[in-house]
Amino acid sequence: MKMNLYFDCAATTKVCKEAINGITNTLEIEFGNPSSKHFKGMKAEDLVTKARKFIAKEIGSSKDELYFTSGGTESNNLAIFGIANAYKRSGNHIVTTSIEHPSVGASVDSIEEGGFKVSKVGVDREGFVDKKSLIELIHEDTILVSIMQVNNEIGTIQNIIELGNAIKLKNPKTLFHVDGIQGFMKLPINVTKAKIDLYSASSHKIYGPKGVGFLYIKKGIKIKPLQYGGSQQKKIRPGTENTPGIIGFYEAVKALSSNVETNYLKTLELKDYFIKAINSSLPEWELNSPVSIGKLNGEVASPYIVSIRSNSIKGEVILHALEDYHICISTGSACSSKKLNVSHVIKAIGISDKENDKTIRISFSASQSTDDIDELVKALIQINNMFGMFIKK
Amino acid sequence: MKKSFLIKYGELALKGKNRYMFENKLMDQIRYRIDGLGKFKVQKEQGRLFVEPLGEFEEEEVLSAIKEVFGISYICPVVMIDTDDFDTIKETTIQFMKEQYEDFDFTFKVEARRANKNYPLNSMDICREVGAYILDNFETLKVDVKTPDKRVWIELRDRTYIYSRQIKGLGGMPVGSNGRGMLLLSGGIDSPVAGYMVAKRGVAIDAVYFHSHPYTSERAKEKVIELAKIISRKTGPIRLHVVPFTEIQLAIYEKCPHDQLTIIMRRIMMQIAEIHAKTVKSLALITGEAIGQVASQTIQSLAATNDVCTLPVFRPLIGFDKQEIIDISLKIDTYETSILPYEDCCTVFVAKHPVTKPNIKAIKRSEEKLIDIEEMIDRAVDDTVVIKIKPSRD
Repeated sequence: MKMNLYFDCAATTKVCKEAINGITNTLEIEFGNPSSKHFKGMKAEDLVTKARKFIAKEIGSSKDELYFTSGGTESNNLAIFGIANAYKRSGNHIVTTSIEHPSVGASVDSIEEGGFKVSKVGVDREGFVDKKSLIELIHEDTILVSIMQVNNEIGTIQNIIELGNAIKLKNPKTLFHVDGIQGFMKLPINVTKAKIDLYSASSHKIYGPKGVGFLYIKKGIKIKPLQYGGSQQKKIRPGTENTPGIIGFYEAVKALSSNVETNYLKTLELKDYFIKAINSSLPEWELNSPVSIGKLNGEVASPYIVSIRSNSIKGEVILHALEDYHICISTGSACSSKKLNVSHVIKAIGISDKENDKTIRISFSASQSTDDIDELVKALIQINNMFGMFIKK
Repeated sequence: MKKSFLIKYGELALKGKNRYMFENKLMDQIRYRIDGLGKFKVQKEQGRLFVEPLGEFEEEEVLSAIKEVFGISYICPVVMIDTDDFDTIKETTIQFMKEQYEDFDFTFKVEARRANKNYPLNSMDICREVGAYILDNFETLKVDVKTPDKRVWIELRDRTYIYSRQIKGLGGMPVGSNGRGMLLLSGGIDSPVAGYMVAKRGVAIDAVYFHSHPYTSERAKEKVIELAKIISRKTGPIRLHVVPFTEIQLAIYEKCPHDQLTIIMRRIMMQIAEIHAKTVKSLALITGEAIGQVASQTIQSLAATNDVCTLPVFRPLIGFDKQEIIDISLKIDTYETSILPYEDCCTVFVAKHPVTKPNIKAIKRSEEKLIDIEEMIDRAVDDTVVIKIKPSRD
């Protein structure tokens, strides 16, 4: 049987062995409820505390500031609704960007319907937030700014440290939320250095199980919970802790912990290799992602995500054609003959609606090789030859 | 006291010497639908059918299964007793009422029938006596002989049957009593409705679906399979023919004028459907077309597609408005699946201004440019995958 080539790591990843072992242990042996008063409960509580401590250290925070959730979407919802509801007396203005993931975008839209003012700052052709326009939008009544660390469709990495410091300089009271779902354990992050007040992350993007994530909430910040129940996690996120998920997440983080930089550089080589191959064999295709790649900090593109655009074939057609080669990728948006279905991110970087749906997203992992990339490029060239001539006339 | 289901059929009873054939088909269809829901005996009795449970069963489950069989006018959950002793009948009626209803705040009427004309009481006597006994037992009930809220039927045959609920069936004729048809099934709203309408007249259904990978996704195919499963609850098993169509579509696109793409494509689809229809001994093609709905469904376009067929083409929706079609699709539970957004993804094959009054001669001239179309059709037919669809019970 042909090997599957999985270039959709930004969608989800395969759970690593370490995480599977950790999960099995909490299902079979350490199955206790961390809130139980007996030794079985104590043991489970110890495991969760160990996990909380380790993960907190990865982002430069303390264990008291980390709250486990059901994943990225819940973390982003808790950050936005939790802050909006807790600080509505201090102000009613929220600032975000035009390229956020729907778990942020739809949350602020809902807040806006509830009477908040929402401003969305635009981005340039490469997806970078314009610092000057962002700062201009921040006023006395701005309670929250929410910006993603790495864009999930095109991989743009915002200069979070610079933005965080600039926000606090303009209004020290404004809270800063960063959606780190595509950045956590792929880029180094220090919440103190970047003056981050809330940071969201997800487990299944980094070889952990689905259904678990965390929200970092800086000490001293008030937050109104989304759900009510027992006194777990300081009542901010009540409900029996998902110990198998949390331990799986912890093991995945631990396995990556010392390799963040090595993996970054390895993946960077893969991405570089891929872009060069596309440029030479499919010169009429274009890059949506930022061109600038390189150093680990600053305004660059993530090595893990690359978005390219065909000049003739719809992204979804390329995706289905690649299935014949046992290759998995993703498109920016779903394609439909009935209605115009464009990606808001591709639109925000200034691509016309007509070109929008010709986009595909390739997302790498460090364990892949240049041979894998060769297979992918070979398939793309064949698909381009086969279907590229059939342009809508 | 035993529970059973009494099945009444309308139109079937009118059939002359063929009646037993229709009844047998109806019994087959009922057996097929209740398979897996318990052990049952299905039998004919004086112009009615009885579905008699032989063990454990869930009444509502059986009812909803039988309700999906064409050819039934009413289904009645009944209790049977093996005696015509009048005291037992009265007592059983009370017990039956207690089981059927929770709220005893309605008007009622007793209706009686007796096969044995020598029975000591006539129908009127039975109604009066049982009615009085019911009133004695349930003080809150009232009799209303003209427009009662509920009716209680008592039928004395070789056994005695008591029932109070008549559930309306789908009508029509049992599937299989009127041959087979080949349905052109897309993922849209219309074609499943068309299949349902023709099956209602007793026609067994097979289906053909044209798949244009990579222009249509696997999910679009899954959606068509799901639609076939939903209608198969009523039509019985369907052999779904999945025809690989990309090669032909690309050839038409490359060689033929763009405003004729859809008409030429539909003509070739009809030809392929007909080849498969003949193989499975279908006697007609079925489509979901309605006059004027889209460019390919103008009367001229329909004539142009019809031109390639030798089998009759049934278009049961021909005079329907879109909303009327949607109403039926909601009733038969296909609507929600039909509107899932996995339709043929690519607009490449749709012209901006398609012809609405195609000239058959001009179309044929364009088709001549498809030099190796015969071989391509053969390949599409040979590479067709047949999926056997059975109703899903979820």
